[in-house]
Amino acid sequence: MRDLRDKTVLIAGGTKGIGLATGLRFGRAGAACVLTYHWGSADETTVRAAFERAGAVDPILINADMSRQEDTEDLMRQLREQCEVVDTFVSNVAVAPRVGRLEDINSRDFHRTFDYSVIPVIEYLQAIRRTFGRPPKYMIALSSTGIDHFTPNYAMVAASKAALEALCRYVSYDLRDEDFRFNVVRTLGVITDSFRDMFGAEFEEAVRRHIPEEWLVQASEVADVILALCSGYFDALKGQAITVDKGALFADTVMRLYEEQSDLGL
Amino acid sequence: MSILNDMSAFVALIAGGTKGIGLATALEFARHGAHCVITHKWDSTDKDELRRQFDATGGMQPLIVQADVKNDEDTDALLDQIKAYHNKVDAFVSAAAFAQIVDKVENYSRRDFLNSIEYTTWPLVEYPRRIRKVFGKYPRYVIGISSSGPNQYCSNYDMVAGCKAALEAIGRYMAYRLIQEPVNVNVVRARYVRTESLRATAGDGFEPYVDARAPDLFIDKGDVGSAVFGLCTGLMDAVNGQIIMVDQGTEFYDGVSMLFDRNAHRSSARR
Repeated sequence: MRDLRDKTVLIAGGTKGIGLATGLRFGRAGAACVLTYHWGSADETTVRAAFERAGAVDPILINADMSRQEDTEDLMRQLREQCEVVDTFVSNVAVAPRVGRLEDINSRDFHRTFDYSVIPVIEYLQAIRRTFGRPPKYMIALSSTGIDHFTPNYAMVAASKAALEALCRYVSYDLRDEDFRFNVVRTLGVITDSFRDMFGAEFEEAVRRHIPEEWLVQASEVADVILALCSGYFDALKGQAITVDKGALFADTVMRLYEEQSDLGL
Repeated sequence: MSILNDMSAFVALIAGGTKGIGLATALEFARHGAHCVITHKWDSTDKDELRRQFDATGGMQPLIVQADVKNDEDTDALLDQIKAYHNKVDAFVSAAAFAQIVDKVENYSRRDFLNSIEYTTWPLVEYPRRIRKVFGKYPRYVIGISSSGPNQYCSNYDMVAGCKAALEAIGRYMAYRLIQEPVNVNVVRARYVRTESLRATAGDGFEPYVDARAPDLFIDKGDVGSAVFGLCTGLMDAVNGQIIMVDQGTEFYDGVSMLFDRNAHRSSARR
């Protein structure tokens, strides 16, 4: 695929962080981007200005709460007016309660996390398939290396991402005969607003002190990977979790810190 | 705007590039306008047939070199030959593999295993190092070809699986060791690709057996080549030290449950 003109990409949670970076990347490649956001979380003018600066096609912004059925139906109606088919669906939504300890795990946070971050992702796929008579050709959900590597206060998010990854594999099996590929992108420590909300400034500072700058992944680099996965070159990847960490997680051990203690000034 | 950079100055060296997945990878690079150097060990290659396949891509003809990946003199001679045409190697793809076929522990052989490591695993290390010596820098992309074998049982595959597991581990370590250099080291795993290697390990009866039951388990070798190429486009540069499975999702579902599920569907359809 040489460029993405005439392609429509739907990005849920598309006005911030990795979602926004992904929109900008697809927009620069000529795709029409439909970005959803929630809770007055986006300043439309800022988002549009970012698209203009990037030389990207002006996006469509839609306020939609993923957990509300009416919002989803509304979104599908609007999509139907805009395009014949949703080529790519990227989900960058998550609510992220800070839960780390046994006693913090509770049913309210569990249901809120799953109702908002897991089920709607699948419901969007169902709705797209119903509305357009076919699933998107590419579907990407953002996940995190936190699902199998300790990350502070991340237990509930990790559980929800793990669930989403399992559903990704099962849905891929069920739709194996359709022109559909659903993969997950796992990121590590991409420093965005959500990262700061979730982990706080102290953790950011600790990350920056212990991890060389060149290992930190930028949101735009994750966006490049998502674009690549939807470019046609990776059409035989289905139900996979691709880790985007520049190789950093592999070496995130005390042994590495011990070796590099003087370089890091620890 | 094109999402691809111009590949016309890109040089891809594919060890074991005259057959199977290696060849499919080379053809993908050629299709995108890159220069390919493909190597083979045995002189059984039909070069005219190879040239026809490259012609069909609309790209450039490859440099075809006989070089035993285990033999450092061959490697040096190969790199000298490349130097006559190019001042760099942008991508090195290690697609060569050679191992003893075994079906019982009694048949494991230390000598054969070490020999297989030299053919299957070590080129991932030795080629980039020698490329650096000759051209002054490592290839921008180093990609090893592996399979589902280290994870899941494959017929007669014990020795290959051992070598591929080593290839994957060494690839991860190389990615870490070379973190300061502009080098990405990744491994691509493929699964059930219709190649000579598959027939040699699983036997001639395997393909018809699968075709009758779950033909979707076969992966097109072009899809594997395409993924290797995709890793070298620049878009995937934040992916490093990873194992990427190219299998149409089949590793997850290959097995008794899948066959049961399909039989259940077939009988309910009949009802």
